[in-house]
Amino acid sequence: MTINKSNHEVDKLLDNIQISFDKSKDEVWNESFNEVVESDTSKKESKTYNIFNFNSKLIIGMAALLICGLLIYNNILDNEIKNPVQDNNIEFSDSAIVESLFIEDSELDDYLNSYVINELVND
Amino acid sequence: MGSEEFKSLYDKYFDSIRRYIYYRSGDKELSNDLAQETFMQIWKKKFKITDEGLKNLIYKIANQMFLNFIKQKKNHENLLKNINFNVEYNNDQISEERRNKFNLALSKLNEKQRSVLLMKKIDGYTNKEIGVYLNISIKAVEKRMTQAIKNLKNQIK
Repeated sequence: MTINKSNHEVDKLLDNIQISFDKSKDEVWNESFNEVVESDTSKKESKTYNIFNFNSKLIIGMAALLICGLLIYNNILDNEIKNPVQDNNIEFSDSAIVESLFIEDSELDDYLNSYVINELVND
Repeated sequence: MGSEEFKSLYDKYFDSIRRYIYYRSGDKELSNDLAQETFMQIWKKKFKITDEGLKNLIYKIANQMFLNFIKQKKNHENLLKNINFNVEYNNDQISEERRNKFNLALSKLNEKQRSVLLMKKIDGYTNKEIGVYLNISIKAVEKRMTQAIKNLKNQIK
């Protein structure tokens, strides 16, 4: 009987325990967390904005570099192609075109054929 | 972890963590401070784990906070022995004398027994949950619970 009574009493006391604190969790949040969390969150957002700016600058810079690189490459390629051809053309013009002025139209094909054959043999 | 997610976590667990530290320390101010510190750590570390995993982690952090605090104190053994556990009762039929006697009995329990008992009776956790949160086996939970109730009965005879 005594054991049952004390069991019942312990259970009754435990079931009715209430633990209260001076400050509610909302008050603690407002005092200690609200500012910190908001400040950290806004910092994070501004960091994201900076990263976005950095990326766009990087992309623009890389595009400019790529365009410059292509222009330079194209220029070099043009020079390599144009210069040797221009030299040959001048030599060709001096000898062949002047001679061809004194040849009649009907004989022009034969002249060119023989000129090309001669050039090939000489080379 | 975003601010909304953190707020939701705080709303869910702050009170139970604060109470848990109180079960162990019997000091409401300390419980408030250490619970705040626990949640501040969680916010700063930005943990990305599931809700249930996070709950375990919160208890582990709170536990470590409490142990670190106790270790810093010179007479930490006496600090845990001489606590003044003072809770309220929401039943007018319980006399002032019974309340005081029961509070004294709760104060005399060792902090491990008291934590397990009150986590079950006040927070409504199962033995398995208590075992997970305190990192002890279910058998250890049951043993502490039995000893706690036995000691309380002896105290209030």
